[in-house]
Amino acid sequence: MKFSRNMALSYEILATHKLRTFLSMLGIIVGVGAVVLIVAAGQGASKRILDRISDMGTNLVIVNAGQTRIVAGRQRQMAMVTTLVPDDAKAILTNCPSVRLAAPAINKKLSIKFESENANTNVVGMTPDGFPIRNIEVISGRVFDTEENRGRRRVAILGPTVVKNLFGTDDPIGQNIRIGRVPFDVIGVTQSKGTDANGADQDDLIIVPLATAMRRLFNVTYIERLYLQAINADALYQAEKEIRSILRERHRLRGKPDDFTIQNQVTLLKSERDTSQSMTLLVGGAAGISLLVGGVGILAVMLISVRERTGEIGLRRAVGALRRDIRNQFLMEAAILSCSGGILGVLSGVAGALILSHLGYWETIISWPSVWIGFFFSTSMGIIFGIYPALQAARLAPIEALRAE
Amino acid sequence: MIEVEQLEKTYSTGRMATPVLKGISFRINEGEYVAIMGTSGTGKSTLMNILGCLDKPTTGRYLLDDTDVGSLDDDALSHLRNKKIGFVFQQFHLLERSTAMRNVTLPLIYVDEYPEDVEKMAEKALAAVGLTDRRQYRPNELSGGQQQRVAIARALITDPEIILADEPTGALDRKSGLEVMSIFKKLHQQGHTIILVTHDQAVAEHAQRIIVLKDGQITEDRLIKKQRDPDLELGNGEEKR
Repeated sequence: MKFSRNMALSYEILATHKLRTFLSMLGIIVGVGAVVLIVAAGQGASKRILDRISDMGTNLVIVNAGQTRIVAGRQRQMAMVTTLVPDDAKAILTNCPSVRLAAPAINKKLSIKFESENANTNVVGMTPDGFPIRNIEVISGRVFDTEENRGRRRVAILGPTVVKNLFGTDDPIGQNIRIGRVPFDVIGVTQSKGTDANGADQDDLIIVPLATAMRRLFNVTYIERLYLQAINADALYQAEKEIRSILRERHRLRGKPDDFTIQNQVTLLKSERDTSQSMTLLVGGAAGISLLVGGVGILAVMLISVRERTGEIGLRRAVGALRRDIRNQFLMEAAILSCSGGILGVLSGVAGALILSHLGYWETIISWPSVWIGFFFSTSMGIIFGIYPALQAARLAPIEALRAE
Repeated sequence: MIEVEQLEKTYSTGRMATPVLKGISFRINEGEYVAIMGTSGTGKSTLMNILGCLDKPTTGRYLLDDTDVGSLDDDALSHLRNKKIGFVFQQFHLLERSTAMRNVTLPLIYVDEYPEDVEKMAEKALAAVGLTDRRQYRPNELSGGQQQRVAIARALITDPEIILADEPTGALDRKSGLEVMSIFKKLHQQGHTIILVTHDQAVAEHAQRIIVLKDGQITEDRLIKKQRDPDLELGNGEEKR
């Protein structure tokens, strides 16, 4: 084909105008690079959120007291409800075949004190089963047992943030702290879990036995939340159904709406994934627009190129180039520009993503569809914006073109 | 063989019609060496464009090897130029950034069947103009005369029937001009048809036959009797020995 015969020449011409060639590709490079990088960052963020949700527990079902609603991306309890009680957990365990473990829990922000150090932290009252359900590991010391819960013992397990705030680098095990005015013995420290999906510090907490918390700290008879573990991942929805029917029965809700909200890990995953995906799409789309701008860059440079190379066009026509040969040549050059711009853009996007991951700022996952879409979109952009200059070049009359130089 | 009959060309800009060629007829046989002479504005460039199939006459006929050029469309004209005509321009028209080799092979991009031995053909063409050792040089590394010789090699590569040279020495010094003219002479001896367009009497004297244009018409069409070696006659009058 005449195409390939001319390739070397086209390449030579582009290569000799290095700066201009680079500038014309710059828009495409930035556009494709941005698309690849942003999508990679978005996918990374999405994965991180999903990891955290699976960190929350295994086959987890959460029952919150009262109706909750998502407000501004966070879950809010709509009204104070006192109907959820520890016995609900027992009833669920006995009556729901799809539920393996149940842990009632309550929490509140309280001031804590060790010697002269003060802090405010989230105090969680929870039964021992809550540890396996919520994947909370105790790395030093020990977990309290059912006996200690029943006996309302004043023992506490600290999150790493609390340890840091109260003890610095000292060993907290065996020390005595005050939660509110009540003294507690520190018996363990949890493994760090980082921040949750909403960015809250999951390590800034103190876990105490549920009975101790209800009686000695909060002085309440109700709980706020039930953590439940289904027998396996497939049983999540079944478990939800069973739990709902037991709770409705126990709360005597015939004809009334639920006074609790049930969520399971799968629905949490789905809503988080949807949010992060629409975000990625939005920002990726914005980056896509810069590809359009990149196409305009190619248009401008090709128009200049046609004007500047009028003499060359005339010569080519004189030695036998057809109009369509000229048109194809300029289209080809636009395609080479945008294609190499696309390749460089993909490379820089991938490099940027790797660097970002490597430096530890942001986990990125390179998405191959975004690479292909970015690449093909940029190439077609170049060809589309190359059409007009190419047609202009092809329209030139040979004698006029020859005279131009 | 070229045959033109009552060739007329009129350029119209708006309501103004400017006749440039006013009925030109002649015939150029294969192997002839013809100079078309005339001062600027006499229509010789227009005539050359028509003979080179770059432009079409308004009326009249132009037969190139029995093909009526006036009836051809743009694509057919391009094919014809590619196959039968080799151009040499006053300003060389080389691709500045490409080697002599690439410049010479440019017309081959547009031939119907790409020959396999392109390199050999280019070498042969460059050898014909004495530039074998300059294959990889770019125009800015060559003298004006050498550049024009590259352009001639480019005109030769498709082995065209006619070489059409438009003021080929116009941008050259006297010595380089003479070199170029001696190449044309050699090509003529090898049987090429050469049409030279010039305003310079001394250059025209190199041809066998001179057609003089004035005001869009032929005022003179004569054969030259060779008494002297015209190689010594190029340039302006004062330098004649």
